[in-house]
Amino acid sequence: MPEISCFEANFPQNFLELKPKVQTLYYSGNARLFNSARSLTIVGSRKMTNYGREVINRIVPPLVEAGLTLISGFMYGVDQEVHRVCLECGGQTVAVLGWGIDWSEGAENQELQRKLVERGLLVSQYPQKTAPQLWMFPARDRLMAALGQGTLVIEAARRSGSLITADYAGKLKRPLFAVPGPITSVVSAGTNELLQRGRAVLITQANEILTVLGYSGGQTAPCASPQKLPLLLEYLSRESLTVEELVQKTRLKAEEIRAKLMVAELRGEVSEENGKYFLKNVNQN
Amino acid sequence: MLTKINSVAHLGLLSTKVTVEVDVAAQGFPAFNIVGLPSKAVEEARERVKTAIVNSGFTFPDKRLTVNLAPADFVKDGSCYDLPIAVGILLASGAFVAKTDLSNALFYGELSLNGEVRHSRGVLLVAIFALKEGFREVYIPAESQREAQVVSQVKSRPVSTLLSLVNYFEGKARLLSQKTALPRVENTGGVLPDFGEIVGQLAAKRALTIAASGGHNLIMTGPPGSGKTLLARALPSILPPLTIEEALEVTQIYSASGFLRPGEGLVRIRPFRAPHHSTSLAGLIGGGSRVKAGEISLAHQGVLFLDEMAEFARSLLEALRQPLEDGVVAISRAAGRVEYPARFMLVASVNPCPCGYLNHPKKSCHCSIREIDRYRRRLSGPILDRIDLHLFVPYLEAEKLTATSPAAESSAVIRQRVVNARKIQLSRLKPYRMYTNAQMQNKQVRQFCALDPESNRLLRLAVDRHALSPRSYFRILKVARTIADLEGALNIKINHLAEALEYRSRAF
Repeated sequence: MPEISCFEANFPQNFLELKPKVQTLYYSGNARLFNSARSLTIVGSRKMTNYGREVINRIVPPLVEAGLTLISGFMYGVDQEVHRVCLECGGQTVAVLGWGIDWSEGAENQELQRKLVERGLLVSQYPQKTAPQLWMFPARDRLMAALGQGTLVIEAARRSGSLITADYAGKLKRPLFAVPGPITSVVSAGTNELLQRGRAVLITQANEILTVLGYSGGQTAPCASPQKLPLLLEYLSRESLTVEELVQKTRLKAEEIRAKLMVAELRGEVSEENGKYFLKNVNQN
Repeated sequence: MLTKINSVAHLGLLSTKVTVEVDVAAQGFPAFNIVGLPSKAVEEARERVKTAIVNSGFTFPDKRLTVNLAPADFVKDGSCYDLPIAVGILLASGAFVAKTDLSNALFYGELSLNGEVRHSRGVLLVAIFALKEGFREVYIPAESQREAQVVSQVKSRPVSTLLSLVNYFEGKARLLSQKTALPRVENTGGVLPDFGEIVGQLAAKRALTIAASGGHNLIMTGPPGSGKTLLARALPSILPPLTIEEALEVTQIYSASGFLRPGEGLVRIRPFRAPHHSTSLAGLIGGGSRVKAGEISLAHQGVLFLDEMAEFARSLLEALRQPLEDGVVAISRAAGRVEYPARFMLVASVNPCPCGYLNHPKKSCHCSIREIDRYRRRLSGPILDRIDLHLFVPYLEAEKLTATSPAAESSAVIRQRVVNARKIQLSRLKPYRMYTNAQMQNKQVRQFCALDPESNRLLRLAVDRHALSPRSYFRILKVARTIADLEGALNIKINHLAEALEYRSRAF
């Protein structure tokens, strides 16, 4: 496994200012991603809800389109969803691990890990098969905050690890963004608190992040004029719904709705998770 | 003096002739022995027969009695040899002289101590055996006569008591069937929930209609209280009635298992079996020392409902795979090898996670990712791959239900649609000896599920996007065929295919 010391050219410039210093990094994958021109760290809860998933599916694709390298922590929940969606859109992504790269966490993540090595980058401070310890995670959070030019928090509970990353981002004077969530949701309490205290910029669209980071050099298309959405998508643009709820709302037959959803799904307009259908990255403002 | 009486032994659904030989010896100490590998139940026949003969007003011969059940090389089990043994003893001891020829008759039934003949299991099999082997009449318990009457070509002689039988043989009286005495019991399976009573869940009802029409297997995922069980229990109310051939197959299994009550004849409605998840392997598949039919055979031509499927032991679910493909289960035990038919429709329900409240609108889920993962992995891919329709049943909030939902269709209306769809399938599949679209093999799928170019493109796109296996590819086509049949369409159209694709196996 390749390792890289702080005296080499490829070493992430962002880490040089860190104190205490990072001497050596272990990595696997494309080392050029260490110094991406445009990058953003995205962190969030392990207990991601449907809401979190929808947010990621809506925000990540335009970020990828704008050429950002997305950095996250390879934990299940928000982290892995970010990696996954980013790779799906053909983007570049970096996973900062809280354990040695060769420590296998279980078969379920093997495929994602393989893809990350192929098309992205895995990084760790810890050699080979180091097993994760509780204290390694805050240290990992520091690296994540340092590596990205900004940090976005999607769904975080109070006192969660995502808020540690947010704290480091504040200390490093990097822009901090947060997506507001329902006040009834436990896993949105942390992000809402960040916003309430004025520590993070409230984000409703990917463009807002690009503007703050100064990336909006006309690369992303200007917001399209409001289009008339087909009836079903119109309902889905407001909230995610089950087939049953769509039947109740539209008074269409279940078979018609299923057939339409299928076609919309194949067009990539709609996605389904646990029986609920939601809209994917359709420009709607 | 020696007499020979014919009776029947069953192993599974197969019957063989057993000759009950009774000898009343002129010499020797008084004794009563049964030989020919009798089981415990047959051994005990001695006491029942002796007491029944005495209580019917005859004298039990105080001589050396030997009863042989031939052929003597397999174990005879059950209480149904009481009647042939008693008749044999009375004849051999000269208590009466039969005016009819008994070599062309079968005797079958259990005796009660007062000489009455009790309802016995397997009477239908006796009648079928008589027809096949050329016996002209069967003497069976009067309470079980309706079973025997299913085979109209064989004369069924209803025996209510030992005395009435002797009177009949002597020409003193006729045998009375209990037609008048017993109320005619229809096997209706109790009162079924009606689809009209279930508010909302139109999407789920639609999927159940498709499943019922094509005989497709179905799995429902949803939180507790969403109505999965109620929907499944209402399913029989929209299933088409059994055809005569199907009813005969079902009734044989029920007769052999002793599940027909006195006075019951042909089973008319499709079975609905809902075994608990603690069921043993023998209970589900069949087996035990007497090689009984399991739940999957009792659900033959009907529905096998596995509530909380993920709670069933892994070994049970894996054992379902072969019968799901073949429609028949072969069980080999020390007692012999038995085949039971098991062509059933599998309907399963599962919770989305161990606590059940994952993504519930009101309650929060307390399961960790690992727990959910482990829970879901209990349902193996091969089992899920054999299920045609995958359905999510959402939790409906009570206040939304009453206010906005339109009046629901009754089961009778839906059932008519199902019956029509089945008719179309039957006319198409009859040359291949199949009843439903679900039974089609790949060859028939290619023949009957042709797609237009536009639909073909949609299917190709979906196969790529969702990485569908060849097996699920064919399943989707079968479901699309059923949807087209429900509409009475000759060819599968794109909207049929698109709907079918929505029921594909999800990353559960």
